Amino acid sequence: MELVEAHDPRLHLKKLCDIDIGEFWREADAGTVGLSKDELATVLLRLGAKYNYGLAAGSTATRAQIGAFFQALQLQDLALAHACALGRDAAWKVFIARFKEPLTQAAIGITGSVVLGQELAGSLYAELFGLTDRGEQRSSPLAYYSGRGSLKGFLRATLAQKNVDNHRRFRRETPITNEDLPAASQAQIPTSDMLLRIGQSVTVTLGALAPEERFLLSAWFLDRRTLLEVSHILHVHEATVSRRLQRLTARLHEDLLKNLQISGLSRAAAEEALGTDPRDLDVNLRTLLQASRKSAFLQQGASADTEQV
Amino acid sequence: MSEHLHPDIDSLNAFVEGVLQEDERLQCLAHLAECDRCREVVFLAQEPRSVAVAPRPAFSWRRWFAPIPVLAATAVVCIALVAIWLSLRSRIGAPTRDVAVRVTQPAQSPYNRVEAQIPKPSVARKVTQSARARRKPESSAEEKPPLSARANTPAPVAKDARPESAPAAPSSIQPPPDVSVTATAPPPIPFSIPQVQPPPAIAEARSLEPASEISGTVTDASGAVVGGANVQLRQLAGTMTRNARTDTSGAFKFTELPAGRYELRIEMRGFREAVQQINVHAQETAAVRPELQVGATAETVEVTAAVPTIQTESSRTVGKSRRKQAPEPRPLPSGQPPTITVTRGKVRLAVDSVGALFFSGNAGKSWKAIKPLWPGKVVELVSPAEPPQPATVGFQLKTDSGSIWLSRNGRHWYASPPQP
Repeated sequence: MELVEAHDPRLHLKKLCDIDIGEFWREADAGTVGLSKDELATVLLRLGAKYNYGLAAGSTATRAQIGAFFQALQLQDLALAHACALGRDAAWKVFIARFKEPLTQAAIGITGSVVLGQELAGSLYAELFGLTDRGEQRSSPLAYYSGRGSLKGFLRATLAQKNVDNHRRFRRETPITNEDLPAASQAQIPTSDMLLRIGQSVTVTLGALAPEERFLLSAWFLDRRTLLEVSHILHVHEATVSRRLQRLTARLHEDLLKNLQISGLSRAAAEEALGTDPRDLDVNLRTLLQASRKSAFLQQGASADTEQV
Repeated sequence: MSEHLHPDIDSLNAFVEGVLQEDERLQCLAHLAECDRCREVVFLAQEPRSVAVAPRPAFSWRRWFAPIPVLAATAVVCIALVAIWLSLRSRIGAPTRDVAVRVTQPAQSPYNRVEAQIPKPSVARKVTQSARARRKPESSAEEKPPLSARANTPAPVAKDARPESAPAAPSSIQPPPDVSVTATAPPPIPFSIPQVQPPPAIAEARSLEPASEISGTVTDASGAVVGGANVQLRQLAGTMTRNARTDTSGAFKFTELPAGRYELRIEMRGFREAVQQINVHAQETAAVRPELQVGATAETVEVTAAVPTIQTESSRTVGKSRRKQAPEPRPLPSGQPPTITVTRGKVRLAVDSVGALFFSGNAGKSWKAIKPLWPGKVVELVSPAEPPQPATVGFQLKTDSGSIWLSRNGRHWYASPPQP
């Protein structure tokens, strides 16, 4: 099979999904951007193998599922991106005509500055073109575009990632002045045993949360995102985010009480322990919330190593 | 957290756009919960909402039609307000009689034809049709329900009005030649249409029973007004009797009167009792100016007067003539009150209390003094419309010296040739 794929990807694709590559090629308008049928077939086959045609790992895709996976891709954007990655002039003309202005506007929006935005967009062009000063083989981030999302969104995400990385590279830690801290609580400082129990209870409670709940808490309490921003990420209404947050915090409170009671405290003592000044606790909520319980992307580790921009 | 665990940009973009499979989405969420860097990237990578809703070609097209529901609602509200206004207007000011006639009788029906003529007056009189005649106060309506209001009530009330209005509609009386008025039908008044149509006879009675008025000012021989005089009005064809008292300006007024012939009796201490007969037609206001003579209370002076009427050929005519004659006539340039008023078409002549003649070509809106060619004062002014006067004679006056003067248009006068 490897041999067949290497020699004639079009035949392999036809064998897989009983669809002529010419149909995809015409739909992708790949001829306009200088991408041949073989090149498009190679890209499609690689994407199908990488994402298992949109199925869970270990599942075997039928011909219909394979065809549906290809049909669901943004074929025009996919052909344009890979033609640009291959350095086709026609593709770059189309790319510049379609994305120059949106990219600049997106960069300005991300950086919040016209100058910085234009600078960020300019640096991205050079990177997208894929040539290095050392004259190595062309390597463009556009080659990693899978066609599942839009090319415009892919470029926006690329810009955002570059901006975040630049910001983190040159960011300096700014200490918080003591004047901004609230006054110390008048409550009695609990014993070290009590603090230990509370810390363990918080760790267990936060560790039992679902990924979406952890993301919600992180975005809301750590990143201070607004309900609207979170709702856009989760593709729900902001009122839904608000309700989820309310339910989540209430459930967290109950779970903390339960865990404290499990550790040997009475109900009253557990409620009293929850009133402890958080500054007395040796608990780093950011660390707890952001603690990696399992390697979510270890399965993609091999590819991520190479694909990470 | 090692760097190689970050999802690639393509996956982050697919997560932002919501096109990831569920298992991959959960993996991404789990990573985002742990990785503030990737959280920041996905929040930054979101399409700005203002850009997402950027105007598309169809958007501008829709924008033109977006206000249509608002405009339609506004139009409906306006139409409803206009309908309510028309309804209120028809209930307050529109002649109910007109409605009854229009609903029950066609335009060519003989029931809605009222004809009259202008008789020769011997005493000062004025006939106007006023819109105020149909806007009666509640108090007078309680005293005797207006005929216009009764027109929409069941038949017995309308039957009561028929004998009073019957004399006002003699079919043999001919109208003056140039007083006829044509008018178009009044606008439909949907809220006043009765549910049950009365029989033709009742409809005829209704068409002939609108409210009329008699108003006047009581003066003495010198022209001074007489206040506090008792005025009694008696219906000659019926039993109705009404009393009033003149106010400080000598004025009195009887409203909501059915058409017919009345006797007006005026009593005042120190004056002779004055009695005057008035013929009032439908929807007319008869203006009288009785003059009291100094004398004993027991003495009675009877004055015979016939009030000129305006032809009411049909209910439509009434509606238009009412509108045309609605403006109040202006006072005479001399400042004296008019004692004789004669109207022929739009031409109106008036004689004031000192015997001067005035001309108005617009039904009393403005007046012009006529330079007298005759000696003395004008004591009689008529508008003859029948033989023996020729048709070219429109007005005739008589001076205190007994000379008779004729005029065709009221402006130019010539002495009447001696009668053979």
